[in-house]
Amino acid sequence: MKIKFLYSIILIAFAAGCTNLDETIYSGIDESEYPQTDAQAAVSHLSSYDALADLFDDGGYWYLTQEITSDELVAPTRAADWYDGGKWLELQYHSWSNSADAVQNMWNKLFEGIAEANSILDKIVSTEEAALKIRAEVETIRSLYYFWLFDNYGDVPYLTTYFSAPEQPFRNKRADIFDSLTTTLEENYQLLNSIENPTYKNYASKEMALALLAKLYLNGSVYTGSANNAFYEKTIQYCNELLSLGYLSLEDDVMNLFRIATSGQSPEMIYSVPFEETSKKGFRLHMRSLGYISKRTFNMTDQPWNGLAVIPTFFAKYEENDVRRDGYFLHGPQFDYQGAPIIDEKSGKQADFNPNIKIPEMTTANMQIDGIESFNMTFDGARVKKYEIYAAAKENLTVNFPVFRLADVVFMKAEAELRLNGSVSAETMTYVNKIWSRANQTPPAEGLTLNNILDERGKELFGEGHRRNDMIRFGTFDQPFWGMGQTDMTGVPTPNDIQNVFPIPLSAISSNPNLEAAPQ
Amino acid sequence: MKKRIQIYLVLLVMGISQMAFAQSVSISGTVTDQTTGESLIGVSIVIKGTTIGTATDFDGNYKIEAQVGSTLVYSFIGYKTFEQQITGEQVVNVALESEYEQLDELIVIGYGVQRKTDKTGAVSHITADELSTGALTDPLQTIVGKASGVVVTKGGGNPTDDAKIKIRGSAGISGATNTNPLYVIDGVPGADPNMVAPGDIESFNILKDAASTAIYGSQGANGVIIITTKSGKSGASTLSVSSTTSVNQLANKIDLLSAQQYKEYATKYELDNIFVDGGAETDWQDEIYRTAISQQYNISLSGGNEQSTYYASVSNQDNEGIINNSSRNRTIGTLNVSHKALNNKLTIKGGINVTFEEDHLVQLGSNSRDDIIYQTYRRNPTDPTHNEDGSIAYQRLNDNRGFDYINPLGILNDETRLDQRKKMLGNLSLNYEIAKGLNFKIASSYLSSDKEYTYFRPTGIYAGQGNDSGEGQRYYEVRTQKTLEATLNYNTTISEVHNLDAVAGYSWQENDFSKFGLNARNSQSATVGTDNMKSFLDLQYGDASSEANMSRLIGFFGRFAYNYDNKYYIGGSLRADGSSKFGENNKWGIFPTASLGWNVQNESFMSDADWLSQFKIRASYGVSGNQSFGSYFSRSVFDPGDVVTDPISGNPVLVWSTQRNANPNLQWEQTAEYNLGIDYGFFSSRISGSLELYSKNTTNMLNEYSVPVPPNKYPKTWANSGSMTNKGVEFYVTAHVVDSKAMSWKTTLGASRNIGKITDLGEFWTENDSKQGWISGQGIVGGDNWTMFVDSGQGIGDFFLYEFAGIDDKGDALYLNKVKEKETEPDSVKAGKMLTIEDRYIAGNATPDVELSWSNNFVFFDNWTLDFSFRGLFGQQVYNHTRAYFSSPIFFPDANIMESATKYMDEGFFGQFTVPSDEFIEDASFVRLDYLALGYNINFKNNDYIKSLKLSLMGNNLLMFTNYSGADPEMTIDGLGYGVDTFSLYPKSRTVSFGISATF
Repeated sequence: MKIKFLYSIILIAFAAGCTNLDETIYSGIDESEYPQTDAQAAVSHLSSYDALADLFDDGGYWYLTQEITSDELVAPTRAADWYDGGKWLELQYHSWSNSADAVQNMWNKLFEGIAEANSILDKIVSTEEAALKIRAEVETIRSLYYFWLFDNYGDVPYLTTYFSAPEQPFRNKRADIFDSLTTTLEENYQLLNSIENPTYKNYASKEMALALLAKLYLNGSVYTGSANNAFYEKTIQYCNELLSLGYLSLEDDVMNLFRIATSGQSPEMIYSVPFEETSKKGFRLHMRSLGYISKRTFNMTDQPWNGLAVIPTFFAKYEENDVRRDGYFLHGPQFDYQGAPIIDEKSGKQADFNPNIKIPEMTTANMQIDGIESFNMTFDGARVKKYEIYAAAKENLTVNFPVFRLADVVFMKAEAELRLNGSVSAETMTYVNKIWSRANQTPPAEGLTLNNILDERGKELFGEGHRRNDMIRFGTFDQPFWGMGQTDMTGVPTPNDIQNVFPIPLSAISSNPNLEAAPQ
Repeated sequence: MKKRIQIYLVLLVMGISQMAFAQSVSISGTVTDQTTGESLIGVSIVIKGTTIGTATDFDGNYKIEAQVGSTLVYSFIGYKTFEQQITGEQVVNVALESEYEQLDELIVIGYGVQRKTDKTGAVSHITADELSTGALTDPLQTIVGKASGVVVTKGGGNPTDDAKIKIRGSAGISGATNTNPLYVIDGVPGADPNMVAPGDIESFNILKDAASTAIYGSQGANGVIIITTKSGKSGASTLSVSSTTSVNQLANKIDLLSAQQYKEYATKYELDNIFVDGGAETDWQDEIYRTAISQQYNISLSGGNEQSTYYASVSNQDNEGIINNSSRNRTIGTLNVSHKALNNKLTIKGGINVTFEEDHLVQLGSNSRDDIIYQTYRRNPTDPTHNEDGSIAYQRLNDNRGFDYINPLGILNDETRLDQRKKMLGNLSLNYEIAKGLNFKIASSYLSSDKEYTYFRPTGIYAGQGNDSGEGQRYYEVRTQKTLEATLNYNTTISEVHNLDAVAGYSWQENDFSKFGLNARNSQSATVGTDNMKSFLDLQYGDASSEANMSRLIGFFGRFAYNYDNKYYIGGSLRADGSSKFGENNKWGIFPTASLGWNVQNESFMSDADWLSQFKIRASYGVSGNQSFGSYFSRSVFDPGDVVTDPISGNPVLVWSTQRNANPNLQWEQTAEYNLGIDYGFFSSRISGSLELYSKNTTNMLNEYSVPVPPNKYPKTWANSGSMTNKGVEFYVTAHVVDSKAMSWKTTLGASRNIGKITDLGEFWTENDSKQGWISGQGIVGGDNWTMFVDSGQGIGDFFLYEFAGIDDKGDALYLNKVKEKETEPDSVKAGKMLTIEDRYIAGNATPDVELSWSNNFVFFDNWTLDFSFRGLFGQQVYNHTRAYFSSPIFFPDANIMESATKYMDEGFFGQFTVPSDEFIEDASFVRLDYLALGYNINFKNNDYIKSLKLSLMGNNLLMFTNYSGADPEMTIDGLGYGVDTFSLYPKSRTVSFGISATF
């Protein structure tokens, strides 16, 4: 009797799933069931933009790498601050190894975006117009990732599928990727949404594709290894398309592009990555650059980290009356947000962000030259305040980061004309003059030339991630500048000869030896 | 066949004839202890071959009727069984000889019990009276040094930290997976040892080799610790009450500069012009530490009759930590009952355990703002603790003492960091004896563990350059585990020599987890805080979060153990385990074992060797697994990701995306182990012990490995790769050196040695996965700050460091590169030839060569006891990151530094030690007096009110012998990277306790 009872308990237990190992997924959606709703399906392709935000700080390093390896910004070692295992100095001195954080993380993050884009593309089987439009958008944003990837690494694997990709892919030649990218964009851009509706300024739009095409062709000789006038003609063609659009124009006040109230709708903006301080985090340039005391200057919520400074030679390019000098940079004696001077307790003097920072690092040897006082580098260096630092700013800033804007298009066209014809057309000069006049600048006596256009571009587009690309195109990136070229300090490091592209990261090679083979 | 029947017939006839002619006699006598001559109470006396018997009374007297020619068997725990044939005398006085090891004692193994003499695997058995007592925050601390090969470590004196146990080195990569053993409490696998009050423990049985653990299949690879709690005994009710009060003090401070020394330093090195005197003289270590008082109370009641027994207890531990405001208060209530029914064929057992716990936490472990040790050590000794108005001195508006410079007193006094736990374990089992030796058992249990976490920081603590708006967090998580197990056990003896024990079973276990949390900033009231989350104004996307997951584990198992005449043993088991967490392609794993044993002393040719009480040789092989990774790791799951503006509607929409690479091949990690053991005992086991040799091979090691990008979306994937071995030897000997009426002395010496090696890196392991033993701090960030490197063929725990070569005349630190040239780090950074991995060398090893433990128990005049145990680890090194970090002169004039910084400053070095070098490797061998206890026992014979009273005085960590320069050389040994003395540990304390306990 009792035995029967016991047996029945077991039988119930066994019947109720004695070997059932099914998982119930509670807080996510299994791949086989996603998307669950039409609403999810309608925006499911937007995950291809997810990787962008991380590229602007140390999650993906793209932005920091472009700035610190160029002559725009320095990440100085300030006593015990900012040495960080040498990872900033490596970028400053172009002495990175293939295991540098920047080299590894930028690669991984860009390929994360590419993998996400490809996994979406793999699932689009419909050939209806709506599907083709989404396909074009995702391929365009993937092209942006690939542009940054092959601009930084040269020969890289060019994959267009996620689910059918080889487990250990080989690299493709940079020139072939250039062809693939330009072809893809040229096929797609007519299908894309237009920023005539300004909402699309945060998405891969027709105008964004055109600007990217202009950018790719302007750098075509770098990417293919051979100069070709057709590249500059194409640049001019696409720039003209953009300049002819009635809903695009240069701002009267350049700073409007960087104010949160106006930047999203700015007629000059073509494509921007949106950041929001709470829901879309990832832009922290203000934290990395501003001084500890700057919390009081801007009445911020968080205390900045007292790091990145403008390289003095770059700061010196600006005339004193240039509105961009005070607009972009925080320099000189410091005041709190109510206007009272901020006093440094150690010296008893007013804190001063002196733009003439001396050397990227504070080593014992360097300190012996000028004495330890001059090397207490707490305040040295002009800081970046270009992107509006509003009251109560937090660790993450609300910004529409301008990836492409009309002033860039103007200078691209001018440069292409200079390279093609040796002079800038009058039509283009009207745009250039507008850029100068709104900055309170008179045109240089010699006009715009190949000798000064790099500086003029730089002064306008400082801190927008273009500088490394520009310096490589002008052949100055692998020449000594400032920190690397200092002769009054200890030793002059030799710039290494392969600076223009980063090495394939150790993390990628060690799990895929095919990346070391010659590109296919 | 015919012949055998004849023999039976003869025996039967002989039996009848004996009965017919036997003559009955009444026997009485006294049973005493052979050594002391004292009478023994409760000695069982049975007529051999019958169930007729009696027991001695309070004076050791007995009376029994027996036939002449029959044999009386006298048996008593702790004494050799004695047999006396009845020849007709009426008075038989017996003096029993004490026996030091009970070979018939039962040990608990997975899904069964076994006589100690029958074991074929490596099992350590520790009973309640062998456990350490004193100020223990954790039941696992009671077995420190008590079982060879079982390393119990606690990195510091944090009352809210749990002890870590590693059995025979760790199988697998800790940090990635859990390499803690499986705990089985009263038959419930996966239970939490912290739910058991030390006073409620009846025994620990530690299964060390895979042949013993494999019955737990995919959960057994790191050993199994079976904890059995006390149950009631039939007889009069017993009430026990005990109380312990402990005083804890910091064991060692570190040598930071005093305010006076700090000012002298400024003057000596002509740095007065950059030094701002804070105007006070503060020893920040003194400010955060206290003399902590801990108290423990325990009350238990037990009793029962032949049918039913019960054991009930309530205990409370209130443990203060030596850092102000850190504490753990735990109350445990337990009730165990058992009842026999249906002619004693059905045994019902049930238990319920409820635990309430409140932990006041301090944050440790890094160099963040709230990190209490970091903020204390670095705090400028001239900075004041309080303002003139008595409020805590937070950072002032104008000072620039540096990044994240927070007053530790503000963190300790004004912040709330609280864990409140409620745990419940209920178990119920029915055992039915279907036929003699055939038992069917069904056991079910329910375990739930709730945790509520509260964090509150009012405004102002991070003050400095403006306002800190405060922050509040609340989390609630619920973990449950349901288990149902059924076993069929058959136990028989055939023809008196064939002993068989077999078990078959099924196990079903489901784990569920859910969590809800809320974060908010901008607090509007320091008193309301997180009690009303509406008092915070800043809530962002992601601040409200919740998650839930589940996993299920199903096993089928069987085991047999056979022996011939207690001489020759053979056994084996098999378990098939399926887990919902395993990938689609590897749902079920098989875990087999086999074992052999030979009890040499039971051989007839050894019958003359009276001096040998035990000599057993045993060998075993088994395979067990580890499956401690998270749910859903094998599959692609879309989680909520970014919120974006839908370009069409303009509304915010959620974008879903996968957050992890899927791996449908993901499976358990597997450990195969050979074990060879010898158990020995001489002179009635007056000297006894065992020797074990083992070799473990762990394959398919679980980790989040680097995978190629592209084509993978993320650079890491959970996978199985590589293999490692752990080989070792364990030895222990127990001797009853002195055993007289006036004094007895029992001493135990244990020694163990384990060598771990990575043998193969496998498919997924890359260079980045090999870097272990990470260090961090201000300026110590990024990819080169590891101290250990794991490589194929290389020992685990090897320090892989740069060779320090002094300070050059420019004041830069020099290191030797691989061709033994001196390099300075800053120059090499600039020149792009940063010191690389090839420039490092093996500078030491963090694994002890040998662990020795020595425990002693003295009894004087029956009333006094003295216990002490020493433990030592020998031959290991520690990377003293605390010294490296605080010897860096660069932190002057803002943060504090150690006295050792002056040594480098004298050599002209102003900078920071930012590369891990052999300059900071130190020998960390030590011998510690873990435990010392003096007790006084009074046994009240013939007292109706009280049976016994015990007073004890105990000390923990009273003495330490070491050359190590830091606060404490003992590091938590865990996984592949250990042996780094980071400055962020909770320091160890020294404890003196007084205890009183009484039984009524």
